[in-house]
Amino acid sequence: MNDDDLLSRLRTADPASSLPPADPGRVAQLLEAAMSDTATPTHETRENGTRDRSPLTWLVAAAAVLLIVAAGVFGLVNRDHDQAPTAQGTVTALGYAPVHGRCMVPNIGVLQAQTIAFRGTLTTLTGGSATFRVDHWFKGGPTALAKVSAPVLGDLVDAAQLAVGQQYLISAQNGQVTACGFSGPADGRLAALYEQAYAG
Amino acid sequence: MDTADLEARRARFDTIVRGVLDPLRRFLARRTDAATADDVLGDTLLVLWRRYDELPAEPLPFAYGVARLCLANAERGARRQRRLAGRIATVDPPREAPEPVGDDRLGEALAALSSDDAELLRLWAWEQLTPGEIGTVLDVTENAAAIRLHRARGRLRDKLRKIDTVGGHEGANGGRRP
Repeated sequence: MNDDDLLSRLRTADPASSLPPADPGRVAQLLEAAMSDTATPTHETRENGTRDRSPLTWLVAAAAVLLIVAAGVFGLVNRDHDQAPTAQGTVTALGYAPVHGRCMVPNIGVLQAQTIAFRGTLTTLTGGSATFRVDHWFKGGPTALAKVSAPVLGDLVDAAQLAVGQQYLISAQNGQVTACGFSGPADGRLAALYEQAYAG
Repeated sequence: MDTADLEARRARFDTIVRGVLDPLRRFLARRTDAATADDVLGDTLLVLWRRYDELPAEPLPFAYGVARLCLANAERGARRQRRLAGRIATVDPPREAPEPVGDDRLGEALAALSSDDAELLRLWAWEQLTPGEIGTVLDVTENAAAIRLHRARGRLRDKLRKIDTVGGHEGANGGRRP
């Protein structure tokens, strides 16, 4: 059997030869979902993770760490002159408004673009707000508590599957909680995603 | 990026995607079930949008390469879920690629090859790619792709010869059952 015979035998058996054409509505939906990805276009993909980061990235990260350490030292040195922390300083206030439309696949890029991210235990769920005792700050803070207010609290409860006493991973941008798969119970895939996004 | 730039990118991306969408759908239909294919197609477009600046003038082989990685990712996730559910020990993993249509012996021969060989042959025969394009998909040089493809064809021919012989000397094109 020569190459042409082989090619012809394979082509005849192509399992996709009778695939119906794409539904135009679905195509538009997929396109919109892809293009509504607000993360800065980057060469990083979910496949290469942090492996291919340039030395500059690490340099910037190192500079950020230095800045944080310097700020911490400055804070320690000057703490005698500080006023007692105000009540506002111990709570991070966030909002939540449901976003309608298709959710994108949770990914590290979007998580990294968040300004606030923490792991916390839901302590109270009343009066239009959910209060978390923060166990770990990935980004933002640090305050002991974080309080999410929502006009319709039920939307947030549904979006992040909230139950008092459970631990959650919450991320937010511009003071608004990012639900749609990016905030939820602190386990499995989401926990792995947070660890990857905020590693180092 | 200002609004005009963003609009120009969106317009170009729309055109590119419409050009590669059906080949991508066929690529996925040849390798996985319909539900996974749809999910992976969404993931692929997302990655293409995020790697917009890397899109070459001929984007299809590049898009196949992205789809291939997204599919591998989805399959890893599915395997992990099955392991978590504790069923992996008792249930055989599902076949990764759909069977070739109407040619059981070809299906048997392809299944007997290594997954790398089978993928090379699919890219050659079903996606109808040149060795250079196969190199782009698999991230290897054109030369390496050509050599591997040549060997994979040889191994498929060997398997087919054995299976066809056992099956009753029906000849090269007689692999199909009546």
